[in-house]
Amino acid sequence: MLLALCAPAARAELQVNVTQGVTDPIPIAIVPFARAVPADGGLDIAGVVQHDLESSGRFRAMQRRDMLSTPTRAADVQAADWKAAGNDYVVVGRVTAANASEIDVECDLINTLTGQRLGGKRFVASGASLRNAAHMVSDFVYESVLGVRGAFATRIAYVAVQGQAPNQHFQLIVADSDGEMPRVILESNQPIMSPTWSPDDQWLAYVSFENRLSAVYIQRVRTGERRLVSQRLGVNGAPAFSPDGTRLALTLSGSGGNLDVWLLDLGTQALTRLTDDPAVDTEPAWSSDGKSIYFTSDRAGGPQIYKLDLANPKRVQRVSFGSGYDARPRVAPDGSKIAYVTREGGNYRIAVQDLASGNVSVLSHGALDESPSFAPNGATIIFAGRDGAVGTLQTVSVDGQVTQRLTSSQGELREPAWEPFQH
Amino acid sequence: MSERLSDRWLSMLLSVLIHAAIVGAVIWGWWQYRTPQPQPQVLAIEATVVREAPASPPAPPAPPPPDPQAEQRAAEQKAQEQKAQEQKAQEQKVEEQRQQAVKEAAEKAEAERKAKAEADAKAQAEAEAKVKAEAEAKAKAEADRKAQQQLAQQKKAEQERAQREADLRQQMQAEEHLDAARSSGALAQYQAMIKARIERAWIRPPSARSGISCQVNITQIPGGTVTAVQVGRCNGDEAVRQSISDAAYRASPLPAPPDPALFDRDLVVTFAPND
Repeated sequence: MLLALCAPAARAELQVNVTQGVTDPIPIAIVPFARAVPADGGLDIAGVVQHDLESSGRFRAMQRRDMLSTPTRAADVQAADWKAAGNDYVVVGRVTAANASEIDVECDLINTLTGQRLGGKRFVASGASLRNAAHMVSDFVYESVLGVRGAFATRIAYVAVQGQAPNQHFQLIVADSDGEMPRVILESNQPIMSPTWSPDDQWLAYVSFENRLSAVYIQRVRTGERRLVSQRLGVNGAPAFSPDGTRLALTLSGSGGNLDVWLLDLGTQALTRLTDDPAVDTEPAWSSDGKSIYFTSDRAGGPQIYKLDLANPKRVQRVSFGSGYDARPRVAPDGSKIAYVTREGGNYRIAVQDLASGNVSVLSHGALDESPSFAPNGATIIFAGRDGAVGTLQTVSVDGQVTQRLTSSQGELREPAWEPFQH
Repeated sequence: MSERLSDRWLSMLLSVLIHAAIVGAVIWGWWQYRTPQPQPQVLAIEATVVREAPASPPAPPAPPPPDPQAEQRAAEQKAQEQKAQEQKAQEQKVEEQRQQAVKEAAEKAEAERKAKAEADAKAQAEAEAKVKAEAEAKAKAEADRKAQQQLAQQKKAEQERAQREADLRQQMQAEEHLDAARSSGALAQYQAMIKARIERAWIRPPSARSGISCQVNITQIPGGTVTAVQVGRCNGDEAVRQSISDAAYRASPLPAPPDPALFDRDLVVTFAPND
């Protein structure tokens, strides 16, 4: 009997094309670290990490009460169990006293989907800096999973105001990025405004009315050393350090009273005028390459964002077109976007504009949101909002997904500035 | 006249003094009562100190250094030499005794060995006979078995032929069926189901921008459980690679095809976000 020879066609693999994904928070379990009591001062490191990661909006943390086991080493983690409980990643760690004055913090990150240890870190910290080490653990987890550098171990500066006019008390405060560990670096009975960081994180420039008139000071954060930078006739305001830290853009009015943007060389004290327009020109912000300055001007009738070229300051381009009020620009660390205050309906909100495409998205939802500042990794924006009658600080992720509020008992909080990454 | 002059000088002097006193009083008064400026308070803050350290084990402790005691050692050495000589004489005596004992033992061993050899030879002869008988029995069994095997083989060959024919028929039917399914759109539907499943499971990192194109080879077993994931060519960074590998595992179990014949163990998924 002849058999028909019929070779089966070779089975090709099945092809599938995926063109989108989701931005759901990634489920992660941060297991309480093994403790070193009393050397660790009672600090719950895993708790700090959990708060950091959840506040970024990119992670969803497992509740501790749902944890059936609490391993502290990668070798003790049964990845399949944690995966079954719905976690894609697990963080474990242990705190030990390295010596009389230092504490050792070690952590491991495990991917439960593949069962593999993704990596780990070990930090040695003084007792007072243990909270900082916890933020560095958060940065490590954030970067390992998302591929973006974390900004949890950085600081913010802001102004706190207590009391009512005319008996108000002002404080310039530096705190951790989560608002904890606030440290007062300047106190005054006269207004303090517009704090801004130098690119090396060592100095803050700000406006102080301590001499009854506006003046721009720079202050070395660690030591308190102060220098008076500009106390010219009229308005001295809105200082902004250049990306190389050698110059300060600021607003001066001179005796004439018309606000314009000027450039001060901190070394030579040479002063250069940048805008020369009868309109109000103020609130300068440097581009990340240091070649242009964005500023607010009402030369078109109402406040809008403009950009001038430092090589040729007369070349001024209008940048914002969306609404009748766009002001107070800040540039993202990678230079790709700007954030500013825009009026939407009758509300003042924070908007982000992509500089290449011109697309604008409004990120916040308050009535009087102002003073936006980018986190150094560009993923979050901190701004001042109002909670009823009280001024608070809030953060929103750059895709508008999540908002967090920074709580404080220090009164009204204003004008936050997020320090840049040190280069 | 001189009286008037001296008077005049005196009055001028007094006048100057009084004026000076008044001016001085005014200046002093102003100095005392000018409004004081409130000085702002400046405070410094503690530095934060955290450093990263390698997770390395501590070095082993160094051995203790030797003790130099030269003179004492020389005296000890002399005493030791004397002792060694005495010991040597003693050892020689013991050695002679030992050699005698060894000789006697050797003779005894020789006798035993001889007896054993005789016994061994006897046992071997018996064993050989036994083996021969076994071999004969075995050969007979072998012949029987071979005959049976031949019979079974014949039968099996016939069965196989019949089975092959049936398989081939079945295969041809399946091919026709699959072709029909593919052209009917069921394949496209299956692909769409998998695509939707994986898209829901892909948590896109910020660096997975439009322009990224990455391939993942997924192996599944019937039922849809993903058993192997291999990231292939990919122009994204580590975060992108990790996210697509995670997506493949997270999508397990993959949906069953509308037509079971469409099931394929090997999938090639291309991630190419278009926004």
